[in-house]
Amino acid sequence: MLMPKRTRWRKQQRGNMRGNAKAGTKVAFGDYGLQALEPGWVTARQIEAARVAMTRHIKRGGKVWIMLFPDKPVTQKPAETRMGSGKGNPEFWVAVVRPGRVMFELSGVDEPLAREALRLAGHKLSVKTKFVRREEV
Amino acid sequence: MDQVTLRAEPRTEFGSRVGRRLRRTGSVPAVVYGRGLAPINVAVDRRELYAALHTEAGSNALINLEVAGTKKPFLTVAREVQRHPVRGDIAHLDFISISLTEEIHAEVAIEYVGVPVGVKRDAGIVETIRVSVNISALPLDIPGHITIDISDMEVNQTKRVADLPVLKGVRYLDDAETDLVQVIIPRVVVEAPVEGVIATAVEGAEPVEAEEAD
Repeated sequence: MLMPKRTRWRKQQRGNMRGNAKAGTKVAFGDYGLQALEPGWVTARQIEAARVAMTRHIKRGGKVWIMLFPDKPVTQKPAETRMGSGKGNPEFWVAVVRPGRVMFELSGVDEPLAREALRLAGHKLSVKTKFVRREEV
Repeated sequence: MDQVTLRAEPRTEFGSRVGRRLRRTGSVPAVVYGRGLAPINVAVDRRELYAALHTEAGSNALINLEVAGTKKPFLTVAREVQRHPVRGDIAHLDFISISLTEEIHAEVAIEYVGVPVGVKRDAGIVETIRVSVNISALPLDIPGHITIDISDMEVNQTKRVADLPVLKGVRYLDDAETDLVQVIIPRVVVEAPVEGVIATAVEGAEPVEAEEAD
């Protein structure tokens, strides 16, 4: 699963997810992409599940780009613990996604196959998504 | 290249609120400038703009911009097209005033034609590295797209900017060694067995019923 090799601080604040994505809103490398339509946290586990779903569907041929990285640690307190005594332990990593963000890209396959592969990948994620094509020049 | 005519209304109010109001009514805020022209803030109809930018010339279409209140139309090209990140609607764009006798820079799409030998014979895949190329040409010499035949490519072969056809009046601005497309053999991904799928039975263990929650 994706996670940073080294971080400066173990724990982060949650932050907010107002507005749309500022960058990464276009299909940059591949021919097709999967774009987020709502804000949310996408976990490293979900990214991996989406990648596996996509690569299994396209079998061989085609190339996949993962355009997001889970660089935010999420902490959780153990079950049945009383409140207080500080922040919980880092449990998993998430990527913060805002609407418009192209999360996965795909090339080297025809459109119906890409559409189905990205649909399957979209079902692994916790945000609503849509299929996008590379912008024509 | 054909010229498209587009009507524009000058704007007197500015700012994000006015911009939003304009977009709601089906217009797109824009600005006209270039070649010593003082910037003119205008608004164009969204549907007409869409039609103007979706001709064979693509985003390099020569647009005759008829601004209400000015004597003659401005010959322009659309640049710096800003889009909404989710909907893809055009939020704002710049019309750059040009002259038919001066070269301009443009980004032109590359059309790859043919199925490479490496794909047919060796089951390779085509990896497109660049989908467009930057050129400099007179406005009327800008092609709608540049076609390159890739049917002779074998596995591990690359086409570069230097391999693009020489077109009259067109100068390629990208480095001649810039890679455009290559034929590669795809990496076969070997999936590792998923942890925890194979459960091992423990001797003497008995199934335990879950306690019901209150």
